[in-house]
Amino acid sequence: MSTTSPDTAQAHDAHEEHHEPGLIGKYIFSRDHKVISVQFLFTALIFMMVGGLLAMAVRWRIAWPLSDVPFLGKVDGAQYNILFTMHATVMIFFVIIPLLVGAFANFIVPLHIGARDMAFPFLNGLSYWLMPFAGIIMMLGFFLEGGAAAAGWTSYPPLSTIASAGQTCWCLSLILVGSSSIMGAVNYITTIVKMRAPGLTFHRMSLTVWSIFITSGLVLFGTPVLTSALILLLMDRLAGTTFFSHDGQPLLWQHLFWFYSHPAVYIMILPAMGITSDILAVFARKPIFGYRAMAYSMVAISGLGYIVWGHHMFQSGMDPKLGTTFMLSTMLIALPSAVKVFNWLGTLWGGNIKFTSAMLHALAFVSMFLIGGLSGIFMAATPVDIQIHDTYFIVAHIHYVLFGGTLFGVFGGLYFWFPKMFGRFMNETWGKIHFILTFITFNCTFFVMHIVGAGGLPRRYAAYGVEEGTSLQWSNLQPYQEFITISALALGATQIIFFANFFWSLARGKKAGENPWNANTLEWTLPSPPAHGNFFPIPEVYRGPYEYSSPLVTEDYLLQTRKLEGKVAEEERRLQERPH
Amino acid sequence: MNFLSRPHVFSARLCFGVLLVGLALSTGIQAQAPASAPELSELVPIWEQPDQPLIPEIISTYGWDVDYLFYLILWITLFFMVLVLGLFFYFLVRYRYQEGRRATFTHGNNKLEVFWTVGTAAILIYLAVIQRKTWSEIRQELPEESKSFLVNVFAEQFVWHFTYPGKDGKFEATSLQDVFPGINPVGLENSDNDVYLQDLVVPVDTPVILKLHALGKYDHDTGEETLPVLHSFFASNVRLKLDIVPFYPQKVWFHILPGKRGIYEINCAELCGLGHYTMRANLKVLSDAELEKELGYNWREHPATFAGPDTTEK
Repeated sequence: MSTTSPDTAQAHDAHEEHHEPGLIGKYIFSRDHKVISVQFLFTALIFMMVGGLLAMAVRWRIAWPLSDVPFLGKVDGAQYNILFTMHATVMIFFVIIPLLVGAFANFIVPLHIGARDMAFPFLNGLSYWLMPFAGIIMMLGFFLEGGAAAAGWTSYPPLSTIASAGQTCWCLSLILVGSSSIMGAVNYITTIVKMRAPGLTFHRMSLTVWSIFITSGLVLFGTPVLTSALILLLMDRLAGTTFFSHDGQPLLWQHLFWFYSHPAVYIMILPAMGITSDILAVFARKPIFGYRAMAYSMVAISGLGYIVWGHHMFQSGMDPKLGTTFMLSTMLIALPSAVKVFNWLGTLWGGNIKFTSAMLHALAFVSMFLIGGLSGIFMAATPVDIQIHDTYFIVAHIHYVLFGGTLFGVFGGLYFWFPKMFGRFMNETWGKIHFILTFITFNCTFFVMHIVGAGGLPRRYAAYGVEEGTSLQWSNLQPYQEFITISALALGATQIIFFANFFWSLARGKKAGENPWNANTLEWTLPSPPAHGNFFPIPEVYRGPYEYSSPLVTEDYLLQTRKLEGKVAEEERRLQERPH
Repeated sequence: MNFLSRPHVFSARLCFGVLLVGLALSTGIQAQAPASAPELSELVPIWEQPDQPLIPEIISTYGWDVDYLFYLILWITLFFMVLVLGLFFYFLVRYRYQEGRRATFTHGNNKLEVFWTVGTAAILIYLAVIQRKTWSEIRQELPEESKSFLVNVFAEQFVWHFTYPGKDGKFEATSLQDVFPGINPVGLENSDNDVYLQDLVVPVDTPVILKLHALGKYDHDTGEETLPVLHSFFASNVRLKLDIVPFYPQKVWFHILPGKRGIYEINCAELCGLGHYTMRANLKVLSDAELEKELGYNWREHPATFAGPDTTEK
């Protein structure tokens, strides 16, 4: 299956020669995938602070509507809408997606497949540089009359059509973000298909690489739909067209939006699943249980992911007959997720589990994703969705998947690859403290939302009965609201530990060697951090990435590049051919 | 419908209650209507009654069917959550790191894999099949108009309006240019025939059909129109929620259970702008005599229809 011919290797060498960067070329307009990865990482971490603070302001406003929000003062209904709209927009488009398909994908893909860089290094740099511009345009909205976008991250027209100028910034910015994603996706697919090291077949790729391969497919076919829809919305706002209003159809936007944004949910979780799988195998010292089932279930998720978007629209006024169709496909997509949870459990079974900070976060991913997945079944049931659609139940669900799932996966990945990225460890003790506090405050914040949401508490309300003229039915839930807010504030404060640990370790962390975790994949054969160009020469790969505790060798790991000789090599060939 | 006839529902409720530490009682059994009904002016709105359960009291015929599915899924997912998390924590303790121990070298087990997948698929397909009936009951099978109480619902940023057909049994045409807040809030072309109220009043134990319209704004000085936006009609006690799509009015129905006379709340559940959270109305479930007093006519003597001029439809 390997496709790296001498030709491509040579082409790459040639590229190395005429790319001798100066200081600016090396650190700012770099084409090195590792530098671009770090650029994505830092940008996303800055936005994470912004998004987190916005969330805390939102929670403050709900719990204590009559008091001033710290640093913001009095927040009215319009400003409240800006807060939650921008929280979601920033977290989804400027934190989660750049972290996964910007930072991690960029760093891991070439290193895991034994390539010297991405297939299109310039395109890679361009895909990063669209992000800060998109971010600046998005943030500009705050300074315009009427403030930033306030129609929710879903921006349903006609509300988004008649909204103030901040909404135009929102559209323009997301068009840029979408373009950046598409450039990245083209690059990852090409790199993974064309530039794998000799011997690295598809079935010897790490699950992280599989997940990014599949995610890129989703981006490639989904994002152009959203980008086009955004242009139509922009036309409605600026050029007087009526695609989504008047004689046009507000529901058309919802269809186009969710045709992208449902696959986007998988874009935001699949890479974290891959990262988690890699970390679990390393620290359980065991091969992944059901490797092929793991890879193919991600393929199934991406396939089914395209035919379930309508479950966001059960109560939208869409034909109820369509609701039944989407209900069925949505029920089915729970299946591959169940397969994955089963295999993660299988991976832990019989292991020799080391509880490092990275492992703790990966384990949190599995348990929290389980809860997030199970709560999704409630929404898939069309009649139950009548009651819980657009309530705190869905808020709890999405945060269990995106925070409990993805963000724990991201934290795990950072603790795990930090030594390879920067040549130093993050502090383990503070890592564990950060983990425990995050885990507790996260569950206090979001589990309670299931409880209030099951009763139908509507989301996106700035107050529930405390303020004059607001909905009265939910005022008995105010103690819950205050509990959630206090937990959320604690959750936010806990992240200071993470940021302090991160930046302190950059400068002062313990130095890391080549392979500090005794892991198998190719990046751990390189110095930390790897030099520009990574592999000299391109390595030869002999086996899959998860041969931990193999009986063939005395160590409990077996590098993908380690060549076995004589009888042991024959034994390995026999093992590889035997079906399990 | 009696909760005792569905023991699994009852036990699911109990289990949910245990989860909500200290709140088991508050999720408990439906409050029965008091024996002697108070006067309309003395009716206590549901939000002022003490000890409201976390899951709002059901007042519609299909409410139990929705909650039944909710509790069924709650049971199934709780079972899997306990099973998986139980194994998960057992493995973490049992297989924690020990110096010198070697992990089991295995790449998986296809039989187990197939067993788990087929088992999960069976449960999911079972769930998919059984919910079909409730969904079609609520959303696809409207009762007959001639035997139902009909209401036109208008959702404006950020107010609800309700019109009732009046003695002629027909709804008047409306136009945005005729809207004068306070005088003619929904722009009825002939405002004498229909009855306008700010509350939704409905009879007990009778089918009710609502037609949902979104209302834009019109500035009489400049002649400028503002587009109507999305809203969502949400009555949590009824277990009913449906988005109101501009230029695309849709009908929904419900049937209030006998003994559920009272005052409930209607909310907007789709973000509609800066006053979204203030967009509420009362849902008054009344006896026939009280309803006649509110409307000024006995609706049962004047059967109505939605057919007729309706300029909000495109």
